Amino acid sequence: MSAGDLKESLETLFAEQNLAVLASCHENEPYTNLVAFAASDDLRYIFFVTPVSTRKYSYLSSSGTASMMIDNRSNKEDDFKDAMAVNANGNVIVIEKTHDVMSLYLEKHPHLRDFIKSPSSALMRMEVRSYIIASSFQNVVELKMR
Amino acid sequence: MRDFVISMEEIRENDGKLIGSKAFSLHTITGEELKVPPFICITTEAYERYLESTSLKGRIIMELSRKDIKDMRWEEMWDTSLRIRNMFLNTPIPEEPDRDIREQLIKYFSDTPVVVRSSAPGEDSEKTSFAGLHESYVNVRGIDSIMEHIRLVWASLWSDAALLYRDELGLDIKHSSMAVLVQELVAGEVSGIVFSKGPENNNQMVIEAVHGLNKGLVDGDVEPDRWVIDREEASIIKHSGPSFRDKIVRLKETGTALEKLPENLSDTIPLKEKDVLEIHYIALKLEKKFGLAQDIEWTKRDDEIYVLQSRPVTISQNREKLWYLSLRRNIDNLHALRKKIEDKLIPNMIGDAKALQSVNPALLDDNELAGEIIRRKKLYEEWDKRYTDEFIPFAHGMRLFGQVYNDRVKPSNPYEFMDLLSGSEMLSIKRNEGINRLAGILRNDASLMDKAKNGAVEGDFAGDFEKLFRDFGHSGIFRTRENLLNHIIKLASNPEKEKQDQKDISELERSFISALEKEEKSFAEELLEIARISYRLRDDDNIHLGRIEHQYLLSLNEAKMRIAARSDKLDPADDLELEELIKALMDSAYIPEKKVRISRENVVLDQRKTVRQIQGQPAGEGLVTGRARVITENEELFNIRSGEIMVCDSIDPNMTFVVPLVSGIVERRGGMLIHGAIIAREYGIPCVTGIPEATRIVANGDEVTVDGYLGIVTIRKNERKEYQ
Repeated sequence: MSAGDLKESLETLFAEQNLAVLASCHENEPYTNLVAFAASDDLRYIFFVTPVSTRKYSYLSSSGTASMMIDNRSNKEDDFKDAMAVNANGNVIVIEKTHDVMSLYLEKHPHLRDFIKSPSSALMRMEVRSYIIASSFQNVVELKMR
Repeated sequence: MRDFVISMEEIRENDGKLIGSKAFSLHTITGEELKVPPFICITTEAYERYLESTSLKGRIIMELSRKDIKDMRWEEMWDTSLRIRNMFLNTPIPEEPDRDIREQLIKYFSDTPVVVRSSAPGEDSEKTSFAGLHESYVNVRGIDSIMEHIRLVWASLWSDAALLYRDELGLDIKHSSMAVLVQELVAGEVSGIVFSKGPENNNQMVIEAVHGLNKGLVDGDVEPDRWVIDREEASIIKHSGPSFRDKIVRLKETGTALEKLPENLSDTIPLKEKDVLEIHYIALKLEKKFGLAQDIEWTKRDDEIYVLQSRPVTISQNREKLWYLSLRRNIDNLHALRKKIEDKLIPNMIGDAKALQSVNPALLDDNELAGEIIRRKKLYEEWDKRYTDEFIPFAHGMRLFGQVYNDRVKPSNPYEFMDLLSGSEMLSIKRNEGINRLAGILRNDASLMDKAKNGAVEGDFAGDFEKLFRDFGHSGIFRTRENLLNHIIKLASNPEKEKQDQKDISELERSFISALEKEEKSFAEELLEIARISYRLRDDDNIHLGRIEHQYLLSLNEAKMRIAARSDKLDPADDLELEELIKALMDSAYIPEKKVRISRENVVLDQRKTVRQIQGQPAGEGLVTGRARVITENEELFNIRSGEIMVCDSIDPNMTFVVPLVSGIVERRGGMLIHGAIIAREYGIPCVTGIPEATRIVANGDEVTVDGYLGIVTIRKNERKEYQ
């Protein structure tokens, strides 16, 4: 699969999936959560929103780094043949809630309007260093974004 | 076209799900030589398309997932439904159903006033038939207005009453849907209902009729004439007139109005015998057609009877739910209730509290004290019942105003209307201002402060202090002068915290009034005034009730002290059953049994499970983190330190004197119009309500974040445990 094809299948996966598993780290302990995400068209960024009162927000604020898993498993045997699991990793920062990013996010998650607009939530951006893509059970490739 | 709109001629036999029960039963009647006003149906398909393509479905799911409805109080249900209703009001119908619906409306009703009625599938079956859970709007004119009312009927699938009856309705986001019936308005001279089988006797039929429109009868505003008829014999057994035949609901330019009945009609029985018999005939015919006893709405115009709707008679229902439904009030009810509360109930309540205050329990002998306790308990219980029966319904003034405000202004924040109500000079705020003023004096006068710390008050301060204690001390909380003085000292030891500056609400008020049609303006002003009084009284009546409760508690305390003195095993703080206390007062040799008290420590908590984050309702905007102070007993209010987060079961206005000290509020009881939420807004303090078991999942000293925007409470356990 060429890099172009790979990018295309990532785009399809990201469009189909609403939730990602976000892994953060605090005092050497990993910590995971489900987050509703949206990716930029060029796949360089993944956006998500979190209340600022949460642990994930404070962990991300102090470590500045995270990884995310986005997959399309169906919880059936076929998954070993058909499922795709993508791991994105990179630095995470809080960004301003600009119109462009809000629109991108809300186009995918229109029901989260009140959530993203709340002064007590933060819009987070992961700048993806690379994607690690696992398919057909044990085939793994890496796509560098920087 | 059939996807979204079906005219009455196009209805097919398997369209029941698409057009809902009410429309389908009208279809069934059509062609039975009965007059039915022409109608069209906006299908459930249109509702579903609207929900899907506007993402409303996801937003409703999120709103409903906030808390299990079964754990909600009625106020929380009202809040949930208010928020959902506002989503519908602010979400236009997408082009495709919009265009199709408009085309049909123009075809049938471009110049005709209509009734826009709910027609939910399955709402009227043998097992379930609930009048009044969903909305209907009478006398809607113009295509835009009809379109807007269609959305309001859709929203009423999620009305507070529907949420209350969710189990009976099988209400859920995946399967529930709503069709809408748009029907030509027949402005009848006389209208009414008929039960083809009487609720008390199955051989009888009951007809009720009023002059004018049916709305007055259905809403309970106009008392009807009533006929009991022998079903078999088709003969009138009994006619009874109303106690006053003096009101009528009539059409206005849009909507309806409750008016005084013209004198010539007040002496006129609305139906003649021949009309009664014709309605009897129609009712039997429809009962036969549907195979079940029917509850039919009809109207009479130009000597012809029109059937407006027909549904099965069902016998209900749960008392508490019926009480809730009875809370709906119109402006006339509210005026009458206001007059009663302001002119009669509150003065009587104050009078009763004063009368109780004039009897000092300490001066009574044991027998007299027993009698006094029983008298005070009875009085307190009577007032407590009146609180449920008359004061709580008056709180509907706020709700009615909120609904009218949101319908007209369509604000993005469904609670914007509260800004117009706050600052209504509540007693609790006056009390807090009094306390704050005295704290200010101590703050600026070190010598007065030193004396106060030693329990001494003097000069002007002493006079003002006495007045404050006289006005607000007898509340069940400030039991002694020392309690009040210590609280003032505590407040004075911290920097002054002002009540939030009043927002300039004049602009908001202007935009509300200007959003109304000319003829509605005086109604709006009247409603706003009622809502403000309702907001203020909701707080004040609790203060008055608190004074009566305090007098009852004082008499109990006196008894406990006397009984405790009889035995080393007893303490005045013991929890004794009232019967035991009375028995001991009447028999000087009797030593009462102590009630086994379930203390907080005795409750076995699952030590391994801790709640880290929980969702409630956002009730006061803002975000704050602080140490928790959990209030399970009123005495603990005096332990609150400045900046702490107050965690409690339910705040009443007698407790809100501590609010100027705290930085956030978490409450188990939910709702936006509850005291905790109201006072938090007055002081601009973040507040989340509706947190189940709030006082059990949070402990003193835990670090708590209150997110009053999203309604989230985050708890970080205090690992060190020691926290005083």
